[in-house]
Amino acid sequence: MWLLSLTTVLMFAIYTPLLPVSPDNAMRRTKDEDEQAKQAQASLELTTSIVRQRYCKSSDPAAYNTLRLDLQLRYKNIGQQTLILYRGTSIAHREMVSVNTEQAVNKRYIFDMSLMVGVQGLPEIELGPIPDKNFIILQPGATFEPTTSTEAVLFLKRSDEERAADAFGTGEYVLQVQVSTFPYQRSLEKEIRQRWKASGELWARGVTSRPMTFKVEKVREAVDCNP
Amino acid sequence: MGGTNDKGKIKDFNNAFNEAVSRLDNEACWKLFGGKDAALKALRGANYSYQDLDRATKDPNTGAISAVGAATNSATNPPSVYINNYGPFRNTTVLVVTSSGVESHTFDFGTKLRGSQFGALLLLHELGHLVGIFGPDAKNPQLNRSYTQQVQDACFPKKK
Repeated sequence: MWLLSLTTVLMFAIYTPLLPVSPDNAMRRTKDEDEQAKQAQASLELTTSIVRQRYCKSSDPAAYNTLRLDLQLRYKNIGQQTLILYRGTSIAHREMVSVNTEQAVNKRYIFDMSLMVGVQGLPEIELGPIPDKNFIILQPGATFEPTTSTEAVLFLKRSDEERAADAFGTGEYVLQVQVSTFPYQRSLEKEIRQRWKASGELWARGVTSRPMTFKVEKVREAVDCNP
Repeated sequence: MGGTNDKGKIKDFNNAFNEAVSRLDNEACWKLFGGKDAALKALRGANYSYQDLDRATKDPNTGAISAVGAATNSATNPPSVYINNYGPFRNTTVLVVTSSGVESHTFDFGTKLRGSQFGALLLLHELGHLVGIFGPDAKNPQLNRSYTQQVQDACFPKKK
């Protein structure tokens, strides 16, 4: 049995919608594109809910105070194929805020932040014939909620009168996050996709959450949130 | 530079920024960003500030540590680049929140770079977002090596 040790892996995967391939182009599809087309038949839905909301004092007096939202993620297999999903913490690498759901659906954002996230010390994956303990098998219709929450950070205006294009005042907004679901290297993805295909389709693309409303309250006393 | 009046933080940013500018003298580096003039214009045209982004955390189930170095907000005009006060930009030894307290870990995104070179690498990574090559619309990003690795290979080549 082979064990592959990965100590440091960077992940900046960004979810890219897949377009259907026209017959004219079908002959030119690469192996990678075939794999992606197969993944496109699978479908994963991500919804979020707020488990904790905090207003935090900035660590530097000149920086913004922040709104920190601890999000419970919930994945649902809404496709026809059984999916294999990494069960470690999902990390948000993009946060998008819109003024309402309609704007969110139309990808009109008032805040659109791509985060440079690094991960190190990932668990070794056991390269056996079936998915190891770090992965979960999701049958069509099944759901999975990671045990740890995912944090979203947004900037707060000092007062509602403050002119700041990237900070939020009192009001209701709509948040979406993009999360990376496979923090390992591409070469490993290919290998385990092959090895585990009898168990299901490895989901290695990012996922964008459905729009979720959150509120910045009028009275928002910031506290020291550092442990 | 916004988000701070701390002279040490401003000096560290300026050193990293100047290092990033000098790295763009290298052809392999500026080619990655679509041309030297475009790269310098985008690098100089953004708003930079130190802000509190996510703290480094340790997954209680897997032991994996994650940290945020910086971020780019493309919804503002000009775009905003945020350097994480809790990240490794100024010091690659970061405090990591765990279920049992706080631990100290070295976090350099696997680059082995330090000081202004590491800061420059982070700024050049964000430059990739500014010029659109690493943007959310990037085509099949998973087919490529990680963005930061691309920046390191092009702009911080290993000496032979």
